[in-house]
Amino acid sequence: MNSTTVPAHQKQAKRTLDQTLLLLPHAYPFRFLDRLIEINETSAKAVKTISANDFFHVKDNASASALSPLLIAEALAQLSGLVMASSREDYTSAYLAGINNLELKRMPRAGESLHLQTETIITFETMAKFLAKATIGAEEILECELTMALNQAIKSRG
Amino acid sequence: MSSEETKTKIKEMLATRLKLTIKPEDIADDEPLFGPGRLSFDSIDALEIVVGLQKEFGCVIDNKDKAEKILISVNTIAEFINNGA
Repeated sequence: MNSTTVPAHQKQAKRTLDQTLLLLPHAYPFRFLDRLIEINETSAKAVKTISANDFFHVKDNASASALSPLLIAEALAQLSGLVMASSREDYTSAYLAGINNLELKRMPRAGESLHLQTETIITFETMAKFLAKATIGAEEILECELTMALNQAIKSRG
Repeated sequence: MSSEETKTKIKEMLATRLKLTIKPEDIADDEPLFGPGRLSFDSIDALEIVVGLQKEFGCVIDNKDKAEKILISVNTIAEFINNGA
């Protein structure tokens, strides 16, 4: 069987989670995924630990160092992009095209580990919509819907 | 559901999901959804419409060819829904 006939999901199974994480084009300090826990063709889970030394920080109401909700959404978008990219043979990058219904329950603080999960709601051609969540333990911190587009879709929009 | 009821529901879905500044009743049944015109939706809007049709009408549009035939106007979407999707 040559490389063009191997289904994408079989190729994906051969990569380790660390290798899959390297498909992300982002480098420090713009990579917001510390560790990939699991990934398949429609969903993924990862961890982001918030450190007081993190490059991007905002002050919340309690004047404690915290991660901005938009950066949590960015972390979830990176995870969703990995789901799209890793299930393709050409590993084409995916871009965040939209955020809907973002709901923030509280700001995560330094020292906490964010558990990120994303699941495909629908895939249509080169675009997909995801339901993405960030939790700390059993507590849900943030939920949103993300629209992701593979870069062919971006190019075709002119 | 009658054809008129279906069209009204489609227009409400479009206005809500795409956050349109025009009222649902101001969308004409045969008004082009894409291309040059007042609405001129784009590919991201198309994805929103596909999600909306699946959630609210149980209709699945799973490829571009099908979408190009259905997502022309409110009339063509209503026809697709009323023909059993």
